Amino acid sequence: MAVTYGESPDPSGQSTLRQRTTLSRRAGRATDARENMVFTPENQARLEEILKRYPPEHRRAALLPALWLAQEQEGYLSPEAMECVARLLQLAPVHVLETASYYDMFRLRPGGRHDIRLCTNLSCSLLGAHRILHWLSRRLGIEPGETTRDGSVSLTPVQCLGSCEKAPMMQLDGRVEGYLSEEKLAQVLSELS
Amino acid sequence: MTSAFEPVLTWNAGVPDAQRIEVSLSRGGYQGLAKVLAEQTPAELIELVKRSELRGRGGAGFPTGAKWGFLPKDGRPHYLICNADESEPGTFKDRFLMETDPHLVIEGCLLAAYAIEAPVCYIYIRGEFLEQTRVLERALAEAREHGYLGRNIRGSGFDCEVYLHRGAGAYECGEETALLESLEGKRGLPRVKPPFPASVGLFGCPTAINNVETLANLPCIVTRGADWYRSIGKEKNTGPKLYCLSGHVRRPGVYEGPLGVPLRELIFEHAGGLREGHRLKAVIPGGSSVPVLTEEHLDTPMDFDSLLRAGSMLGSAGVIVMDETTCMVWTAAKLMQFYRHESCGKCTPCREGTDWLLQILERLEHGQGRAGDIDLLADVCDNIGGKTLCPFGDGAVVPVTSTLARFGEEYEFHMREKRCPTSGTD
Repeated sequence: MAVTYGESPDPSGQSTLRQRTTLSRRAGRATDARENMVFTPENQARLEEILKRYPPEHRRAALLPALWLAQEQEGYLSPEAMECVARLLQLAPVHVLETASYYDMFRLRPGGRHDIRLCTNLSCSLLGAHRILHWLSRRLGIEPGETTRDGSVSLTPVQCLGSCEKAPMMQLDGRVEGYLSEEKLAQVLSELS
Repeated sequence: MTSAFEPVLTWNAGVPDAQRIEVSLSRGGYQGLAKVLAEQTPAELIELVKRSELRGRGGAGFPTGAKWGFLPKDGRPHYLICNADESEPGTFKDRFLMETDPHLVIEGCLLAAYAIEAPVCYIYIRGEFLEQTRVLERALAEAREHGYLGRNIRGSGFDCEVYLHRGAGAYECGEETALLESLEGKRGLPRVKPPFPASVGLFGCPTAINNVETLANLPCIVTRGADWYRSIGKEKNTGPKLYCLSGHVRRPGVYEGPLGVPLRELIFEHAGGLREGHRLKAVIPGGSSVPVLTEEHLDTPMDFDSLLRAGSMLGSAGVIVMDETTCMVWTAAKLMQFYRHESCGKCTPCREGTDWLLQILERLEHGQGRAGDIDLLADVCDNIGGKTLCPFGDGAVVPVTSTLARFGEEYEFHMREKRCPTSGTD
């Protein structure tokens, strides 16, 4: 049931269109050069399943799950992805952006193929998280917060990930890697594609 | 945790395939639910939990049974939310419970839902807990296949759905009204209270929000009774408790004991003491938002009331241990980086104040303190604490106010000598 651009059955379609333009401008992209994002049939079915979990008059409750689906499918939340989610949940795109931009784990820009999120909170820092961060930064040739030029790895210092017994620790593509040392990191990095 | 203590919450930890329902059932899983469905009304279950004196394990220590009693019966649907957004620095007990014994958590959710007559429970799980989300998803599917979830559970006539709802990385969403906003698809900003969630919660309906560990306590209360439960721990601080040990200890990890295990026993017996050749300098007993303690407090029992009397709090029981190589100004700055990053921005004192505090702490730590900075720190803290909508502001100033109170001379040293006295931390 993908609703394509300009075919919105929503009577407020006109204002939706205006806000779409705003979303795109914010991301610095040309409006007419974009293609619409649509969910794969599999993800569309998952979204419909998710929508059943919330009262029909509270479709917006499915926003975080829908954004997760979009990010898993597209790699990040492009303006097109947020507009697609907005259409499906009958929200203004700006409301989708408003929510998406609040949460650290939603990426509004493309990241690397691999995602390193290193904890730099107290328990990890007590056991050398910052030494690890500097080592990673030198080894990858990027500053914390950046992505390598070949697009393979993003390095993000983050707050406590709730695995303090494995300090210092990080998540690599969501998987916990704990008790980090330079030797262990060298091994982990060498296995990345 | 004394030799007589028998693990209750973690008794499936380490058991092969304990996440599978067959294993859980063979070890007593869902027996509490079966018993309640066969023998008790919701009101009787609430009464039982009140008599057990169970207090919420999320940090505030509010009596669980009393909390449930606040939900009005006025025709609106009731909701249960399991708060699995564990994000307090130094805390990893709920994560441990979900990954080692997901069926215990689900059974706890079903019991609480039965007590408050909620047809739906949402488990709001922290976005970073990817592995735990997968484990719970599979466990929920198994529970459904075995008739413990959905319509007419085990033929009792009780209907209950339990859904996972994944957060996306925001500490503030652990605060219950911010969690509600987030679950409704909005930015996770706190609401003005009153009204409290018990009367106007999720989708405007009466809602109970309970922590994972709190809910995991329910099955044993049902199967073994309120008197047995009250025999564990101390007066008004009853039952088993998970403690998270991290930092400069030899064996960091989750340890279970009765409420009220002395801090000394936890650190030196269970977590193996400090690293070779080092001595204890400071310990944060309940996650980053509670006041730091020192060696003189080591005999304090780890329970709600004893820690309060000692000038700290049990909080989330995230015990962060620091040895003599740790600078307390550095520690306060590290934690302030966290609070500045996580402040949701709704209340000005917290949004602006955490940034100011971080700037002052960082220049002190780097030997660039300016005259009056220490007084300024105290003044900014004074203008945040108690002046925000949610407890975040109160928590955010604690690392500064408590290190200032107990390690004031270290701040003076940074000012006077224009350098940090310790070199063990980066």
